[in-house]
Amino acid sequence: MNAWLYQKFLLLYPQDLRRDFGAEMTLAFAEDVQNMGNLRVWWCAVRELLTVALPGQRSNRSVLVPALSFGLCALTQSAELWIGTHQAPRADVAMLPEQILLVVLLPSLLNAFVAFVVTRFYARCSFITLRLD
Amino acid sequence: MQRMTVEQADPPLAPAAFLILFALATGDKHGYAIMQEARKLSDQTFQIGPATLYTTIQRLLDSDRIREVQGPEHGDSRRKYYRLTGAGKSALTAELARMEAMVKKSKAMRLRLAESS
Repeated sequence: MNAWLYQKFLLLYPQDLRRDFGAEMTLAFAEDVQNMGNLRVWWCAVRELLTVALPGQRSNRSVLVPALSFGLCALTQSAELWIGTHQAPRADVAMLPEQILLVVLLPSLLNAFVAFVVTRFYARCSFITLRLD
Repeated sequence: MQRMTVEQADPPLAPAAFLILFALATGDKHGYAIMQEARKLSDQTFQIGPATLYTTIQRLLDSDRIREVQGPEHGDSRRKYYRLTGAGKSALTAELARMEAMVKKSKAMRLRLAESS
């Protein structure tokens, strides 16, 4: 399951890295999960997504735009949730995992998906230009 | 003059590249073994994951500092093994020399600080 999910994760990495080392990366990841545990290795994978995958995809708009959209949406939604829970009449209201999922993750994923579809559509329709000559 | 030439030929290495070259200095290794050795060498302070590892390996292969070699006969066929090249050895030696020089300088500075206080 972990290896399968990581393989899907690799779609966000530059194509040449995926082609040359994708199988080895998945193998190393699976072995690392066995030795180091899920949480530590997945945290490292998420960090590498931000530090390795996205900088490597600077020129690939269909990855960069949805990722930025996800990040910005998650940031604003998190801020809203944080303010909401801290300004609530009951001060002991904590951020629950379900709240985070419903208020932060789902809208951010939806936003990223819309951004992905729009970017792909725009790329396919790029022949439509305002050529007025 | 000679030192200047060495520095020009081998610019400072990124931490991941240095640890990978260092890990390969003791013999041929596959990716995951390099990852484990790099963590051990850094006393677990440098968390190197698969993406950092293989991006750096790709760069080191492109700059001919390491090369892919045949693994052991009965080894896992899915694994690729890597070996340090001459250029890799010289880059590692230059980096270690640079570090040694920095340690010497810092020790000298500490001595001067101790004298002045």
